[in-house]
Amino acid sequence: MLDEHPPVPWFEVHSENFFCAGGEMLQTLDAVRRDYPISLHGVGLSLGSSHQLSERHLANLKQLIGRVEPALVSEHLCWGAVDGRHLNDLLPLPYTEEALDLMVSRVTAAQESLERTLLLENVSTYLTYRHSTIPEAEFIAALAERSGCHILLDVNNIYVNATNHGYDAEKYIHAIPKQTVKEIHLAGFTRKEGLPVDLLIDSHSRPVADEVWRLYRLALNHCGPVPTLIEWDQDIPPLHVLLAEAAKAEDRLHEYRALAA
Amino acid sequence: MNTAPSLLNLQADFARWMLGERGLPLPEVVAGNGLAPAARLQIYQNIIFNNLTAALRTDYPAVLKLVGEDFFESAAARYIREYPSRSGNLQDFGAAFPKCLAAMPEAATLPYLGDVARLEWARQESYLAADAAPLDAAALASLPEDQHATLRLALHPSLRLVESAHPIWDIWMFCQEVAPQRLNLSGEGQALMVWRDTRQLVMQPMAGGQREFVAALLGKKPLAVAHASAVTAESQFDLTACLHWLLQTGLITGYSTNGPTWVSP
Repeated sequence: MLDEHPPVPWFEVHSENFFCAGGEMLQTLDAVRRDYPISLHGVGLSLGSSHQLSERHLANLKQLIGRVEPALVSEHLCWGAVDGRHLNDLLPLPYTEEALDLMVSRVTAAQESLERTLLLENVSTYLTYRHSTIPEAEFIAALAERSGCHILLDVNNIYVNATNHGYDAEKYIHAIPKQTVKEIHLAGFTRKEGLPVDLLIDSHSRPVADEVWRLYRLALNHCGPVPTLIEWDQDIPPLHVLLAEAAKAEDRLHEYRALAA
Repeated sequence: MNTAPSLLNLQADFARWMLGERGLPLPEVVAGNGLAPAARLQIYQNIIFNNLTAALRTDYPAVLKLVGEDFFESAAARYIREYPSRSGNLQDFGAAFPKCLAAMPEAATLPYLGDVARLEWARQESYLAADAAPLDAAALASLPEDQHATLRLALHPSLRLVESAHPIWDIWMFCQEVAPQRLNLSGEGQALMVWRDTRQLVMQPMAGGQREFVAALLGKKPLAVAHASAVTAESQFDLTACLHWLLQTGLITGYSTNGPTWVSP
């Protein structure tokens, strides 16, 4: 990839993959950084966990931010650990006042410690809790308003959750405060077979679905031309296939800009 | 859970359920929405086990080759349950897998398995370790003789010494894509040095005085002590040649003649 120097505007990496002290991984990241802006996308800070934020994880992230000087730093609206045990997955929160208060205080603390505004991403979920009282879009909007964080809007995750839990994806997008959205994610999902209900899994292993491209256009109309990333990190295809997906998103961004002009 | 659980209780139960505990009130708070609540939880359990197993597969390719997919998966499942992940960084997860494998009754017929795993974890640690500039040979050569007695050497942060009562170098080589056709599992024990040479991992079998010398330096012993134990192991041990090789390979990265004060390039 470094040799081909692909014509893409920026790259995003998983922050934790570069928590190492030295070696090839960091050398490669430095080389990419010399030519492109980088976005750091974390999967392990576990902001929604009841236990304290991991000081070690925050310190590692802060050090990486100092090294990379990223354009964006993002994390997820989820939890992943309890009592020091990590499940290393993006797990669903109940959307309650208690969880909202916790997320607001954790995001505020992390932003203070990192001296950065964080982007929080909506995640795909495969279950909801009976005691949730706040619709997801309102929950993330309130989090942004109270903590000052920005939103990484994953349009595929909205589509996946709308299908899995039976809500209206367009209404979701319209409930997001447009000025807080600073990045969009697109990805492919897989459909779980043999179940009595529709269930989509956010697998990052396939091209973006047509319905998701349609929602993406709607999201652009709502939020404006926001930097957009294609997530494809399982069953990764040849680079030209990835670049073609990325070009498709760029085309829609250009289309939006042309219409807006 | 007739009333809504606190977030802490919900997360604690969720983690227990994922690691295999049943009889918890957790399914009662999950909306079924056309499926059994337990079926929805099961989706998460599968994803979690798949993710963590995939991380182990990346860290332990030789172990996977030795035991095959089915055994590896069940060993991984045991590891996930008995040694829960303690970090939000998946790179940390596999640290205790060698210990888990060595203690598995099902692996008792493969007494070398834990040691091969230790070698693979040393490779992982070495790959991710800090960088350090090599020390110039002239810096050591110019030290006044009266400082030799207290001299200590700092070795490259990526350097690991893995020792086994089994032929782990031969076994590891046998697991590679281009592998020797025959393997004698009951061969003599082997020791290996693992380090990172700019980008690539390098492994080198170690024996005799050289092995003792590097082990002592890794144990932070003064050069004179390391030299003495190398000579005890091998009366012909050539200190000059060994130091020359370590310097040339870039594995000596600093020195100290005065306790805690280290000099590095």
